[in-house]
Amino acid sequence: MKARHQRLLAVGLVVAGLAIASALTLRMFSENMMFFVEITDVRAGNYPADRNFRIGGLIEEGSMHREEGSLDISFVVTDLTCDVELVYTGVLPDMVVEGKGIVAHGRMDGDVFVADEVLAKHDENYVSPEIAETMTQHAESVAAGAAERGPECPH
Amino acid sequence: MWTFLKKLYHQLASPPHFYRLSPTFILWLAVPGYLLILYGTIAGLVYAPVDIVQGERFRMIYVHVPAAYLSMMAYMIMAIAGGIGLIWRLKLAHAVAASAAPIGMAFTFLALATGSIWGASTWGTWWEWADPRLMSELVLLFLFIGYMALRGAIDDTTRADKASAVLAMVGAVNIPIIHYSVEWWTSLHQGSTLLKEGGSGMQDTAQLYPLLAVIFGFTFAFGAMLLRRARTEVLIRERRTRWVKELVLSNEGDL
Amino acid sequence: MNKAILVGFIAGIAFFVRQIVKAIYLEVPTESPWTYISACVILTALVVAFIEWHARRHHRNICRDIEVRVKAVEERL
Repeated sequence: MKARHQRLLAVGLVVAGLAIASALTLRMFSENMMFFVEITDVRAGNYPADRNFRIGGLIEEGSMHREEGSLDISFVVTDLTCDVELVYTGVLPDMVVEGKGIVAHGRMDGDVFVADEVLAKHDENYVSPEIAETMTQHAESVAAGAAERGPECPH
Repeated sequence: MWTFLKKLYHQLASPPHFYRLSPTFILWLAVPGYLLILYGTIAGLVYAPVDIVQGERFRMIYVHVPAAYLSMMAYMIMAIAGGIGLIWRLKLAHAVAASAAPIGMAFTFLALATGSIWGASTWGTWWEWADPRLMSELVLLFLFIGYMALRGAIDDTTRADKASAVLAMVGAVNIPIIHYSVEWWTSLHQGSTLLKEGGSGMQDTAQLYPLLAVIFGFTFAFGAMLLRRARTEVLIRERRTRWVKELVLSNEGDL
Repeated sequence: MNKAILVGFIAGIAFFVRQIVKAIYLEVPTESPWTYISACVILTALVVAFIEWHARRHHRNICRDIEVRVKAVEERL
């Protein structure tokens, strides 16, 4: 074996070893790497009860309610399988609108998620007015991120 | 054909040849590169139609996406060139690896900064510590800083080349993590638009072509930047050789 | 020529800082998205200009360094 082949083997082994080690580490800590908890998991009770956490999902069409004369807002967050009601007091970023994604920070109080921060989550689709016009209403809403309702919530 | 390629490889791998031929390559990369960037920026910022959800704000994609993609590209080049340098003891490969670091660091900083500005205007936050995409990209910035600090700490170029190549290869595990962070875990950052499963998430060509233009343009410009720095690094590694001495004494134009 | 570049550079930094300060004060953005867009574009142009300038300066310094050393050796011979 030439010296060059030895070096090739050594480098290859080190890189392969590192890849396996980091893959295993990431698998172990996968739970902690999650930015938010899915609504289905929230409804199944798989969320930290003793501290604040984040939920993420879409705002159900037609569910946004603003209390007259105050900054109290409530809407339903859905992952298209399960829903949870969210209440928030304050000003929302202007991209937080019905049918679009959000990530909210807060805690569960009974069946309601009490948020202290609501962020807009944009999806990976970019749709120009021209493209939107050529699409049917349904296709447009799908392209803009509003997917079909999934199966019945099991919880 | 094969012999021609082999000859070309040996010529380019030889430092004096590389030094002499690289200005031509730099020109051929820089001119189309900056022209594409010019077209893409103007077409993207002025003529592209808005996004129906984000409005005008989506135009930040024309600087953010090329910066983010190049930050990862630069790191891969740095790690692979470092590995080639270790295995084949190729000085030119180490010179390329050393050149990729400052450029990669600049683009990583740009990806983070422009992303933060976009986040402030759309998400409603400048920075989220728990987001896997944001964190892994920040780790990339620290890897570039660490790589350059390690190089700076070792005076002997040959030893610096070896040590930093090992660091670059170890850190390369972060690249797939950055790329797949938005698929493996839940995140605030959206998934990839161009590499989306089932076709691009940007269907209007008036939006798409300028984006592709800036991506390719920045790639070419990056190539030119890389070669320009690699020339300097070659000179550092070859400063005691006869060809450099002759070049200095003959003083043919600028060095 | 160099002076013109420097003036342009400083003007660019000043404009970028102004845009960022504006963006932060807007907090929840309801005003012009062009504040954010221009901040991104200016920052990118500044950083690219800086690393290109830095590469050229680094090259010049290394060349001068080698030249001085080679000439010193030649004179001693």
